[in-house]
Amino acid sequence: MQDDVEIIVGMGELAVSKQPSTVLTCLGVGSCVAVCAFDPVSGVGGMAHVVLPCGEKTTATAPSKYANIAIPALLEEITKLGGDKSRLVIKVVGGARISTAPGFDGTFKIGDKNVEQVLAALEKEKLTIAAMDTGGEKGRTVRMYLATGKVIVQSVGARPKEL
Amino acid sequence: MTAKTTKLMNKAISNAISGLSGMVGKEIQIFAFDIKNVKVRNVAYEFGGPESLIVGVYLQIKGRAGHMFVGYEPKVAADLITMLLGQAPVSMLQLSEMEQSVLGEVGNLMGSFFLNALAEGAGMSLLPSPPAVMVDMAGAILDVPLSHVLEQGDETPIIAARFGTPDKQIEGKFLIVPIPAIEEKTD
Repeated sequence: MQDDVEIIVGMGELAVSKQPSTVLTCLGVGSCVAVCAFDPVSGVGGMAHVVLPCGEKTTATAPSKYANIAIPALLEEITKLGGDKSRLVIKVVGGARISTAPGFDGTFKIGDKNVEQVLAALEKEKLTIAAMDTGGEKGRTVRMYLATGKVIVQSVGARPKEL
Repeated sequence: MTAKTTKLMNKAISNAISGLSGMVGKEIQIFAFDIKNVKVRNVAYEFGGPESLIVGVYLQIKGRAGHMFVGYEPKVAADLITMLLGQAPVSMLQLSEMEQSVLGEVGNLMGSFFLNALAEGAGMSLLPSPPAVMVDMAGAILDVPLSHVLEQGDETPIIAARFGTPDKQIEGKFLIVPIPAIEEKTD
């Protein structure tokens, strides 16, 4: 059996693969949102690490920073590898409000806005969501195993759970 | 980053440490200081890695869309609490209101002293908000300040300072956004 190869998807980045040994990972996601998409027939999977709700310009190092741009870009990369949009199993994780301290004029509500815009972008693509683990006040690490499409979520002080 | 800005940051850290010195009633010195630009992708690794548990104190710089974040390892934060309250916290994951308040005050004081020196050097007004104290994975609590960095570019200055008394030193890391406005003023 081949050892797993972990690809870390940093803030604003996206990654796709069709290697069964690949594990796509977003480490320590707070207000950001990890969008996981997996085509169980072709085995192609992708993950986008969304940072902000909406915007126009991305950069080469952060092609996935805005929700409205990240979702179409993720779908395009998955399709290029042979994945089929109509078969995608989509899971959405993150969007926490890490602090509820008063006096920040909604700064920490950015997670709520990120989730809202990710859902809107997915709806625009006529994609349904198989599972979600969003909101709350804790950060999460998200791993998607392309051998099965399984998504595992873990927070500090909690047991890992399958989504 | 220009030599002038680096010098100003060094002065600002010295000012923050002297503020802490006054708060704890001991002479605290800086033993090491380092400032460097770090890519957003690598910032959490400066704080032990995206999944490492850290204690962060976050301040907004009023009217400047700027942010300041001070991060400590849990053990360092526990030492600060013990030093100021005379009692160690039971759990870093469930800090009491008083313990959070003490860490907030340390962050607030150091942030204010830091920003005062920066404001004086750059000739601009920089006022901090009240502090927010967070205990979680480094990646998670850095999301908010780093999301603002990504709006403007893909790297940010990180300052590492080791400070304390000759027999006990701690390390704190500081992330300040934005620097461009300050750099323009100091060029």
